[in-house]
Amino acid sequence: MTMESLKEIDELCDEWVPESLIPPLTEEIRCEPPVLESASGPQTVINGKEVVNFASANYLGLIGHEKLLESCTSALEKYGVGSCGPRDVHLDCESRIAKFLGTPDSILYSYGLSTMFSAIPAFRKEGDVIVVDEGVHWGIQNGLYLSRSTIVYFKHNDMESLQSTLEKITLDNKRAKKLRRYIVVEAVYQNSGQVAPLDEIIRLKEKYHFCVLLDESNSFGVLGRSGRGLTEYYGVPVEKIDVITAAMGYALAT
Amino acid sequence: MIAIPYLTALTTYFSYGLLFAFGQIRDLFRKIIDWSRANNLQGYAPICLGLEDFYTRRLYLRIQDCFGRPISSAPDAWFDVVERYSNDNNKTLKRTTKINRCLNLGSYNYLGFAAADEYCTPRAIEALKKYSPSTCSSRVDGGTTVLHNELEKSVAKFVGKPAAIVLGMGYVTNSAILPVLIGKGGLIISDSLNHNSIVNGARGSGATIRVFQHNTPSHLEEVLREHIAEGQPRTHRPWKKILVIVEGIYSMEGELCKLPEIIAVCKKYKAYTYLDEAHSIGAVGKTGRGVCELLGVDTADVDIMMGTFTKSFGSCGGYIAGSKELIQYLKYTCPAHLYATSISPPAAEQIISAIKVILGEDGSSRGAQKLAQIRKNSNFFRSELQKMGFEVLGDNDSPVMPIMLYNPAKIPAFSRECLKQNVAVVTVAFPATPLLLARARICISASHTKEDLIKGLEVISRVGDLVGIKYFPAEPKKQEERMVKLD
Repeated sequence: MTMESLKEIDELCDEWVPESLIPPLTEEIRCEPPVLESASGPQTVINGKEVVNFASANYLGLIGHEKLLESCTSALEKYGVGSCGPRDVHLDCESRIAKFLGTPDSILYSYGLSTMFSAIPAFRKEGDVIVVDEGVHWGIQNGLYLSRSTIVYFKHNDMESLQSTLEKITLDNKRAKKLRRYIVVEAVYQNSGQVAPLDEIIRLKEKYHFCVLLDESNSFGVLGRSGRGLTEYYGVPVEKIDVITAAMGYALAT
Repeated sequence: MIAIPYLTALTTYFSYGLLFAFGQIRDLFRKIIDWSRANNLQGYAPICLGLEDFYTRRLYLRIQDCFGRPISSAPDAWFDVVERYSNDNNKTLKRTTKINRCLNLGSYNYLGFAAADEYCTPRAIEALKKYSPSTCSSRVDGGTTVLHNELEKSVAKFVGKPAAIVLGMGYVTNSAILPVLIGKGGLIISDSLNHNSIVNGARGSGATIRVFQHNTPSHLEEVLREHIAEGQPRTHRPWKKILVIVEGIYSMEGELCKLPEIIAVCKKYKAYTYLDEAHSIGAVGKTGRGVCELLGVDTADVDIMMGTFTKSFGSCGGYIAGSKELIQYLKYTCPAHLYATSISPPAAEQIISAIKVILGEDGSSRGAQKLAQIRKNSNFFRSELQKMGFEVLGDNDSPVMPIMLYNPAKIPAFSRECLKQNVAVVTVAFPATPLLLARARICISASHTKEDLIKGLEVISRVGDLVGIKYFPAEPKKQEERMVKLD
């Protein structure tokens, strides 16, 4: 490189002014969330005042359950707080969940949000087609982005829109038979509270040969006679769903 | 850089070639068998096509028993490894009720907080009883308790920054915060050996990503100059901002970051710095404050400091520390803060009390002793391994020390032989490392006693001879002694 061009680069570097790391703060940003002074149960204490709590996803009221606290205490004493690898209890928990749902096996992630966000890129590679409800939560959206596959949205909880989308994909693409095709839906949508019509989704999935990934975060332990989620609610055999994910921070209170 | 010996490279390539060839032959037979059976896909495309899962099927499964070993106790200096057996050539592993008491050289339990602690555990249990295991809500919707605020204050004070935000998982801390900080029109310059969470966060951000040679400040400067001069691709508009991401201790290399030099380069070119202290916070530095303290860097010069609580603090979750404005902005925008359940209260209390112990605020000198111990233990173990002729990576003071294995057959051999002699080690292979550079990774803890370390060294030395991984000549210890006697 010549002296001149080196000098030029020096000048360019000197001239460059970066934006500030974050945009200026507005009043809205500065607002602070409420601070709880007790457990986040049905009643909780904020600023020394007892209030009724409608914000917590403590669906089964397991927060503060005597027996749970006891077993948690003994686990803390035996295993410590943090984990540094798989324990026998983790594996036991995985097989219990699988047994509860009626699936062959299950896997635990340490954080609800990261479950979809890791599971989606694990299954999908470049070139796959994913059909998604436009109302899915952030964890799924980010997982979709990271999977680098072709993503098609359909109207929120609208089965006609889903059908026309699936039909279009199967007809338009001659290679569609060879592509891996997925549908991603939530059982109870975190953002709208609507329940997905699973029976209809299963019918469409079987008609067009798509795999279904179902996020049961807000329905696991809540819907169905024995709390087994949306499949039980609709009386759909669990084998029809390819992958079920759920966050345990809600109904299970962990 | 790791310079792999010529002969070793040749044998390693040969081994992988052989494994590949056998895998292909087995695949061929599998295909013939499948073809004769009815196709049961019913119009669905197969989940894995062709060679996509070849590595898992034909290489990883053969040595699956060396990974993901379950344990049935806290990961202290010694722990109980559950024995497993397989009836189908390692395809599935079944657990037995038998346990094997082993020396733990694999956990990131740097300060020994992973097991029950006289100060932390009672407090964590108290928090569990008062606040329950979970808040069942995100931080903004009533998932913030008094504990969460106390934790953020104490973390900020500990790392030396005005404010901090705490998230429930370490991995998510990186992968959810980076897309908030930078986006399209920005440039991320990342160390080539950064952790996968950073890679995923950077990809998710939509910013342009460039990589600089691992831990090489001069190459970082070169990349910075080139890209500032050229601007954004195609449009050549100037970059909105540039973020340089490095780690404090690289977990697969055991190396310390050349932070002072990197900070100097970033300052010169007005780039922002993001330091991931997952392995260094609590583990290095005189008072456990991480690489900044160890290398004498002012924390004010690092714009964003990130770290996790899973390692030194024996808990879970991660933090970001920075200016008050930065943290306020993150609390308003970060999806993991807005949507994910907040960190479990007993886990939060565990971190608060661990920090108190480290700083001596519990009224004892246990924290200082732990820090002195891990430094002594690490340096002793590293120098002994080097004397024996192992190829050990990393820097002094770092509690992570990888031993190079190279050949694929040596991975299970080393791991199984050590386990037979009651020493549990972690072996790392592709995809966590480059294919040729398989290694065993030793993590030293403050809870190891001198006797533990000597026992570990004896076993590793014996197994090292057996497996043939002492790539350097050992120091001629005995001869020296003889010379002294002769004198």
